[in-house]
Amino acid sequence: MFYYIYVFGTLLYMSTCYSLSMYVLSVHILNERINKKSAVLYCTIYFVIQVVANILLMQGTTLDEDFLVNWNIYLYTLHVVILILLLLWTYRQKVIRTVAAAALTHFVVFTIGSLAGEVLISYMPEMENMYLYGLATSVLSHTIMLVCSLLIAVLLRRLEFDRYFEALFTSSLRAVVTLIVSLLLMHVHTIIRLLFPLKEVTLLTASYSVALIVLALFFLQFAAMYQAAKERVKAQEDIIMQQKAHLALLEELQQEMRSFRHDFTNLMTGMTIQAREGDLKGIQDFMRNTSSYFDERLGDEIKILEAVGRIQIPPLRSLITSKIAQMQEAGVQVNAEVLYPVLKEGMRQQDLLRCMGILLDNALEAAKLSTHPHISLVLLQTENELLTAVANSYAQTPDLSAMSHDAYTTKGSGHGTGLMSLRKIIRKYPGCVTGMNLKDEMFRYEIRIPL
Amino acid sequence: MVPIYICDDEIPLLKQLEQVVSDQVMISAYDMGPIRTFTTPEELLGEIKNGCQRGIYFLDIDFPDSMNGLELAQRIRRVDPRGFIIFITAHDDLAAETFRYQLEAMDYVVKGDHEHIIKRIQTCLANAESRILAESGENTQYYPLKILDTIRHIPLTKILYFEAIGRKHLILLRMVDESLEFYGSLGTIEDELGGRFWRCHRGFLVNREHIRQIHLKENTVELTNGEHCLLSRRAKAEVQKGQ
Repeated sequence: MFYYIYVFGTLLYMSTCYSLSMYVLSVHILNERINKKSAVLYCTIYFVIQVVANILLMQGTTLDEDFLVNWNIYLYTLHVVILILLLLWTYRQKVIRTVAAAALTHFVVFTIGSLAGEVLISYMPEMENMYLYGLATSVLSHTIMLVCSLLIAVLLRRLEFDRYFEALFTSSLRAVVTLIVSLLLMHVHTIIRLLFPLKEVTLLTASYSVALIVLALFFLQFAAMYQAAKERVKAQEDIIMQQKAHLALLEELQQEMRSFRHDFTNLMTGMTIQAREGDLKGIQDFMRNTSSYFDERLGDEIKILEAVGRIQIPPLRSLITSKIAQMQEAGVQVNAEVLYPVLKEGMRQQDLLRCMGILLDNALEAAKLSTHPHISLVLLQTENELLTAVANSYAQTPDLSAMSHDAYTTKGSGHGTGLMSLRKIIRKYPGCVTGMNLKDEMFRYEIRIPL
Repeated sequence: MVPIYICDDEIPLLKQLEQVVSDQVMISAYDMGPIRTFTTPEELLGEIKNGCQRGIYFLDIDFPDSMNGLELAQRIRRVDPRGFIIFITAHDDLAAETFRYQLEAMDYVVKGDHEHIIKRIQTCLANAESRILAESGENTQYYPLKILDTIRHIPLTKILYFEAIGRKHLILLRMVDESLEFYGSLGTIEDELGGRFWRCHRGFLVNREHIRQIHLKENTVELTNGEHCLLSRRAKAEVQKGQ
């Protein structure tokens, strides 16, 4: 009886340590928040599999080395696959990223665990009590593993590892290489064992593998850092480009001001003459004309600048400025309204930028085809929500009923391009909703993001 | 009688508006009045705090050292969700488009020359009158919908159907020229709206007045705008029993 409780308890503790390390570390690599439900689910599944596997192992009589090696490969692969499925189901990130993260996690956790195990077995003094000895080696090594994994997870978050990690997936070739490397690393122990078949595993071989791992980690980190630095330069170039667009807008305004001043002097001269002649009707006409003239020439530009200035998230401001410049270049009349300062995104910044990019690109595509191209952009941050809405004129009435459903795609024709990816992003954020309507010959698409 | 409220901090303009509005009401013999004027949003809000009768509001957009027109309109909406809100703006320079998203049932009068103002006010009042008449006859019902910070009152006749999309209680509300998403449950909405809507499928709640045809063979319900909703076996049995 005691024996069973002992075995069962140790197994429960060990598998919980192991699965928890795996889950936490992989979630941190993916830069997501820990989801308690799926963590518990993973631990439970892991434990059940371990129990079943051990029972099967105990019943099997052939316990030769080769069989154990294969057995381990299958078992670990199964665990990693389950972790991958669970992560995909919970966080819905890209498959290739999730797979690589899970594989790397397994590599790290397994290495730490086996090193701790080897060290403890080598240096543990002989003990009379078999139970105590087992407890000391297996439980202690798993505790060390859990603590180390958690530390690494915290460290990775601190170092903003996810940025480097992201850099590994920017092109499809790089993503494939990363995937293969991480899968190889995952099975590195088995590979080493196959390449150098040693009769018994000593502390020395374990140290070798750890040295290899540390080296690999360094290499990975440096490669990723190098890549991330390159990305950063590119991002800065983008920002400079967008700043230039902003500057161009300002310069244009200055030009307008100059010519307006010139016109204005002329107009004033005319009015002075009218005033001298006592032509009240003429002066009234003049005032009406001037105010609308002023509105037409400068009102729009000033209004846009003022609106854009209230967006206090620099990357978002840059994006919107450059898109507006692009629209004006294409001959689209642009109206931008930002009534209150925009300070919060309500979602990940990249996600908001992607959403806005898609909305504005779609609007431009559709508006270009219409007879009086017009686009109107609204950003409104109130107490509990951020409203972002884009309205555009169109040539062909968009089919709202089709566009309202997730399965909608139209490759090539104006609307709907990118709409699917937009929806995908929105669905990640609970409480975030979209809406669309047709009114006054304009198509409006709005996103409401809870803050 | 539908009361009219005018709020503007420029007293000459306020007087002018009052004159124009009262003239128009008299000329067209609308069932509107009395006309009340206010120079600050606070006064106006204090006045309507108690009564929730549907009114017509002419509001300035910009009040120095007080709330802006949008805030004022939103507060009015809380007391009088079906009131007509008309903004008076200097030019179309302020956040006209923003107001469109946050409020409903409203119009603009652009400050300018006298004749233009008269003409705009005429149309606004005529619109309000025709809406009031149309809605008093058929006893319009509304579905109040709160999406984050915005509350909307959607006339039931405009609704085509509600559809449960995806997981997590996300609902799609389809109207003829509009689609909206919000979080809720079809069961609750069904209970709230009663017999005018029919749960033709686990995931669909359709407006009976918008059903054009029921295709028993294809298991769909065709709506007046040509869209199709799914028809469940249970709902189909309901239909066949009814026939």
